[in-house]
Amino acid sequence: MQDSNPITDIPLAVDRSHDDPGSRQLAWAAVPRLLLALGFTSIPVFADGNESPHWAYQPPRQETLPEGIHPIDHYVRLRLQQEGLAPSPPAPGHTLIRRLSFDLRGLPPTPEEVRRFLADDSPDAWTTLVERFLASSHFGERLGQNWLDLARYADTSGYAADRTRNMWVYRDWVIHAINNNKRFDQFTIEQIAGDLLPNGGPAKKVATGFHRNAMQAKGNNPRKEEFRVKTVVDRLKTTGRTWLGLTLECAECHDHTHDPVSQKEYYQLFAIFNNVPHLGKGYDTHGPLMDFVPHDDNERRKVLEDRITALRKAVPRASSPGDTTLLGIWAKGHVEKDPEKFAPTGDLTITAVIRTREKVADIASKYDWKSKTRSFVFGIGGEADKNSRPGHLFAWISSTNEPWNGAVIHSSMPVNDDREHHVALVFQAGKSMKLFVDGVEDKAARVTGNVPGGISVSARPLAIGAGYTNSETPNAFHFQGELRQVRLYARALPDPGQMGTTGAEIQKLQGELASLRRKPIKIQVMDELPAPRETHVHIRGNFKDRGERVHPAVPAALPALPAGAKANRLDFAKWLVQPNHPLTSRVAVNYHWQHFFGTGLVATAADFGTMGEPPSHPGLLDWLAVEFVKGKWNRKDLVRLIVNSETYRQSSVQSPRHRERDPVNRLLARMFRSRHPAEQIRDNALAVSGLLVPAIGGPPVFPTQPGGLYEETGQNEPGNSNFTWKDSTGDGRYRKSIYTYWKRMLLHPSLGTFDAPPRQVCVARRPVTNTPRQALVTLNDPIFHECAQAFARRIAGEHPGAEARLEFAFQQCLSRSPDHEEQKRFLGFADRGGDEAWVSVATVLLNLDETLTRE
Amino acid sequence: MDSLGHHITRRQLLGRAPLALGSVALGSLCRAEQGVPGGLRHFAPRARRVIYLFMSGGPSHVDTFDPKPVLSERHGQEMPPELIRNHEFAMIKEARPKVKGSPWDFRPRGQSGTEVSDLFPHVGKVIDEIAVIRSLHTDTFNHDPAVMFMNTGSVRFGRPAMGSWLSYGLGSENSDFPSFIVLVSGQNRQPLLDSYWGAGFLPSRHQGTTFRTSGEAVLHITNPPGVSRTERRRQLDLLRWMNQRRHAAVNDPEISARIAQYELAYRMQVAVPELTDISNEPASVRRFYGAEPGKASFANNCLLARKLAEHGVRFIQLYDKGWDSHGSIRKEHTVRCQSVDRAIAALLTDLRQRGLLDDTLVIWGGEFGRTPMSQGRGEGSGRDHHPHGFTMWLAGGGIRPGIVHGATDDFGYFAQKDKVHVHDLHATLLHCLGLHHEDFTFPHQGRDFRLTDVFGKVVRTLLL
Repeated sequence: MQDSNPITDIPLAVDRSHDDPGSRQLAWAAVPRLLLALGFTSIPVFADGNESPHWAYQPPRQETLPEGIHPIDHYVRLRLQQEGLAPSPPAPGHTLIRRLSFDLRGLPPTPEEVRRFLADDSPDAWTTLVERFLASSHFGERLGQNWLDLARYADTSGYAADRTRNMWVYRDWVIHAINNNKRFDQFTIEQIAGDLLPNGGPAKKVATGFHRNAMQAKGNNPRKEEFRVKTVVDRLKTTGRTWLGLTLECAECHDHTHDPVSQKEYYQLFAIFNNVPHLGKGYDTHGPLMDFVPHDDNERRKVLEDRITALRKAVPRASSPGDTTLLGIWAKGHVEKDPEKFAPTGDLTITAVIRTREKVADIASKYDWKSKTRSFVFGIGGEADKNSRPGHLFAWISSTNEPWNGAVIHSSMPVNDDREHHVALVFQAGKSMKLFVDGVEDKAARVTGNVPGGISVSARPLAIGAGYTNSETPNAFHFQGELRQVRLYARALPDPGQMGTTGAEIQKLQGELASLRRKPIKIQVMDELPAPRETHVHIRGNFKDRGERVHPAVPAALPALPAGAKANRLDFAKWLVQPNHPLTSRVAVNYHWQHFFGTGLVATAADFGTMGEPPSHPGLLDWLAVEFVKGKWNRKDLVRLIVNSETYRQSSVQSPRHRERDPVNRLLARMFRSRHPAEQIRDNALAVSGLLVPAIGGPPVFPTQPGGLYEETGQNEPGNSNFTWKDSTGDGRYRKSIYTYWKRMLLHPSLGTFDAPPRQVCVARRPVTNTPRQALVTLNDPIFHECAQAFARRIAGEHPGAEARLEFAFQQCLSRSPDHEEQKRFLGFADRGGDEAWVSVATVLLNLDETLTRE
Repeated sequence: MDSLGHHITRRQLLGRAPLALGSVALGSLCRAEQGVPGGLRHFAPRARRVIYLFMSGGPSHVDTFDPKPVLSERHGQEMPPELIRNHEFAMIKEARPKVKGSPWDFRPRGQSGTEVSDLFPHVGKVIDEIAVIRSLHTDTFNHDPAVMFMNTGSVRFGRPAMGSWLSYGLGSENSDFPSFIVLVSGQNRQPLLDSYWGAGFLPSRHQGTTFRTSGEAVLHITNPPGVSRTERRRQLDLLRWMNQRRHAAVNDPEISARIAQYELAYRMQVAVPELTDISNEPASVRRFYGAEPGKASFANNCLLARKLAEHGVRFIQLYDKGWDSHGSIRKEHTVRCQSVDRAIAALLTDLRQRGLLDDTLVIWGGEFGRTPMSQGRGEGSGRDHHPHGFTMWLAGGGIRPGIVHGATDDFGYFAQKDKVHVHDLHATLLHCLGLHHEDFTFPHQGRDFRLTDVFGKVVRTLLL
């Protein structure tokens, strides 16, 4: 075949790696190819061999259907009838609940859920189950997982430097939007143009992270502009695949060869997305950023605050002890006469009750650094020194008058809130310096310098409620407000507020409270330049070779923008979801169909063009698309419609006839059966073994990964990502896989092994492979082994006899009981090897095809 | 079986095993069992496998295989402005950069008399096995796009690497290893990205597998602590029994494939550690390569590459990092060359002695060359990235040995005579493996994609 014939070889050269819808369709698909081979360079709308325009550019029409049959079942059975096939019987109950649970929640059903469902013989048992799973907050995670593939969501920038960036806020937005059943048209508009919505607010701006998921290289001249252009190119490609099912990217360098997008039209679309600011330089090259305070857990915060208040009230206020080390008590501002008096040289505690709004005020001082007479000072605001914190407690202690020879402490929390506070300084010579607020140590206080071994005696007499600045009498830092019960001890009191164990408890609660109050982070959002960039055709796709000037517009083969539209991103987004748009609703419905049936009604989900596969059930695709729009783009309604059909509930068992007549299941005479996606493989093992931490959202986590991976390829270097993997401790190890740090240039290997995409670009459909390395992961990866061990502990721990253990293990992992033969075989297996044998049982169960597969 | 017939067979296989066990994997399993090579091959190949020595960062052509006496004569003078007009450089910011002569001497080597610098004395000794191409040129001058371009024929993400293409097109000739294996050595500077050996739009089983140089060669190849090989066998026996029952119940051919993959994994658990342990090679062989067991090095990787080649691994790619000598090139290139020179020569010699070189194509080169101009001054000076003309070399696998193909201009700036673009190189490599680059396609997003995009011509003078 050295001298190939471009025409006769055409149909055979088509290697449809995933399906083959039949020779008729292949011949159809080959037409444009033939035309190309014959020298036609551009084949616009009339590609399918007859004179009607390509189906996908015509608005969908909804046919009137017979009563009494589910629309999906109507269309599917009609086609089956034509092909002489019958639908499969319903799958068994435990299979159905597993199917639905994985499809809607990405997790297996619990044995209790299975029991309840199987025991429910009411006619609406199934719809009740559907409603329950639809209401689960894992619904947004599972459907979101598909969307994040399209959105090319990742936690790093991509390219060589591949730095971490805060995209997870967008990821959480997707999950919540799906959980809250945000209308798909709104969902679309907010992600493409939430920043341009009048009264949009920060949440809608977060949504625009969708198009900030584009990879971003560090930009040095002249690459900065090149990489900016690449992000726009990526946005077009992604928009085309996600909403339009259109291979827009083909027209970047020349007119599209088989779909109706000219190169000029490509750059008209480009102009719509070309007005995002591009700032910074080098590693700091970035698009628009927004300050975002991560979601506070308001409920928890309130609980904590109430508890702290209650605890504070319960302890006697400001009851500093009276003992032999107590040097003196002052009820208000005061100056001693004798500088030698009240001049401890070793350990020291000062307590006081204050109420003030002052930013700078001394509580007790024998310190005048301008006169080079230093001893100790305790107060608020560090005498306005440049390194001090206004409104925060501070203390300076020096062991010599001159030069300064000691330590400084600054508190982490302000006390000038006009509320009463019990405050204390505790100095243990040579060892420590601490500040206490309301009896609780401020562990976040910052100490600088070495804690001195003693305190010098200065020539300044003790001043209460004032301080010194180059003066023999107190002349500065006067305490305005209330100052009471100032006490001075020649001892380091362990508990100056006399809080007892309550102090430690308050401290713990405060720690948790502080972790709830996060600092704002910079997140990536879209923004629009006040004056749009001038856009030209890039000749042959070269951004430096500027051709004809173009203005924002949409391709002529698609509906026009409404009259008077500005053709900015917002108008474009609204145009996508205008009711008569022929593509958006079909494409959206088809992606959902792909989720529930493995393959879309259009198998090439991201290509509805003339080279894409025609729909297997055109009438059904259109019916669903119209219904979706009529139903106000209600995603959960669409899901209900699909999973409540009998077609969805069919058995996935293949018969010889199926294999003979419809090997790739385009006719849907059975349900598809396929290995779980990477995330569900791991999440299932975590759930079955009881290790799963099911929390929703938050910054990415770092489940165990083999050490040294980033180092081997230089991914960790400061000049590159400047970041290395550190396994999470605690909950982060057991969160759902959707929260795993998604590094584009080195994805967690166990995710990658199961075909999770690195999401460098928009992914419309994942491949499903079956490799030996997958077996090595589920058998040997420490994560999976830990699951097997934990599962074994559960099996052995909760159940006395071997039979009960096996029953539990099967129910937990497979939602069914072992049959007689299985029981015999497993019990024989477990009989050898003591408790360790149950780890082996767990390993076998977690590796079963039945476990790894959505049936 | 002619290739036409083979297409049809593949199609039928595909039809029966949608999405799952793809044609080539199934093909390769069958072949491994029946010992029949084949796949998508269009005609009889000269090469059956590839060892690609990738010098990541860009080795300097004018200091290694492309002698340019003019550079020494004009050392320190301004580069002729007409040569570099309108050119931009990655790092050199001077308006009038200066010529930099090579710090190393060149001399003719072997029967062929091909000139090689003193950086590669050992490779010089085997130069008669090698075809040096002095007229390569590429499209881009930054590392990651250039490495992507060299490996995938595109600067964009999402395209398959050459090794993935070959894994897809030709399958594997062994049953215990992946068909595309990547080995890494050298000094960190530019990171290596997964996408350099990614499968792009091809099924992900075709992506390169990195064999690690320390710890487990393949991730998770070792049983967890406390699980003996006997116990694993016992587990797998029960697992297989269960999976076979499931298969009988639901009739999904995918389950048979899964059973086979678990057994393959079990075999790999023995085969991989055995093969990757170079300490079981004779000491004389290790010395010959300069390999030291337990140490991560290019020499170890060369020895391992030979072992993998013997085991029928289709595409073995060695990445050696640290060739990006913007500064102190005298020192840096000396270090890099010393760590690869002996091992490369040993690899070629060893392959020859074992009769493997005739059907193993060895490729040496980086993502681009380095500028004839100096970056910086004096001892600390180096050379910048250079895409317009540089050197790569090929050996074995149907390549005409002992020749020099093409030339750059007097300054080593532009490829001038018999220019070879990266696409041409790809077309030639595919040709050596029995594949027509224009017919070797994969449909994706509405069109058939090729490694060579819509370009490339086979460089026939390089072929035997």
